[in-house]
Amino acid sequence: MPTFVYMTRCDGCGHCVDICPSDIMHIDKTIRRAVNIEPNFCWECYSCVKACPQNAIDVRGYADFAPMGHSVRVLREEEKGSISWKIKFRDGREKNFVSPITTKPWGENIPKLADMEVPDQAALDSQLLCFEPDALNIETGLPVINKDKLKEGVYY
Amino acid sequence: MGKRKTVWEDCDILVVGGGMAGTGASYEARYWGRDMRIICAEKANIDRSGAVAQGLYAINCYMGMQWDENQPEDHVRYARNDLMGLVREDLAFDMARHVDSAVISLKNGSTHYEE
Repeated sequence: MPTFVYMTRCDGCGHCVDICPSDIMHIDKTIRRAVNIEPNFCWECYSCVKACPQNAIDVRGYADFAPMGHSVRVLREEEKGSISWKIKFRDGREKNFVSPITTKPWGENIPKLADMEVPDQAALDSQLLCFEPDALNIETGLPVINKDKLKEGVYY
Repeated sequence: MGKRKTVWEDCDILVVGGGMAGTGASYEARYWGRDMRIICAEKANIDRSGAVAQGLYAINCYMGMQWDENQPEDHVRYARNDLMGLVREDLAFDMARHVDSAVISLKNGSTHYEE
């Protein structure tokens, strides 16, 4: 399910080249458009699809189960804090999903660890992580392993 | 693949990988070691990188301990069955008991990873 680029929309800005974890989105030196140089190494992670300001990148389904006429498009809007998926099926059905990507305004909650209190040696020697035990939201404190209480098997 | 340049860096803590697990570990490292030199090494763009393997696994196994939905013992049982018995139960327990607070810190934007 590799990515491909609509040549008429791509303006060669290179965002996809920066974001691709596999380094397979390249700018073609002749036509100066983005191109997936190694489709069989594509993870289908959609990072480039979300990053493209021109919405010029799409993802192709495998020929055996999605031969023609379908599409999966995504629009990621940081300022709205939402991500929207549009799924088109071959038989014409269409599904739209909108999900939040953050619970706080985007980019305003950058951690300022330098302003936080420096943990003392007793805290450092404890088994707690940052924000614990408050963030556990339980009054009994951090659970401690007890081999006798471990459960056997699966019960659904 | 162009030319590679080697850069030598000294550090106290080296975190290998900058996905959800790696950035979370880096954050913890900075919280507990304010004067330490910490390097988070990532092969790709850190804005949206990684396969989110351990990080997503941790989010998916959110315990909900405060509502008694699941307890770390439940996760140990699940992991043991999932891996056909080949599991360090103490490590699975340790990860599970910290999941709830890690999700809270993620929700509060205290770490920089946002999808």
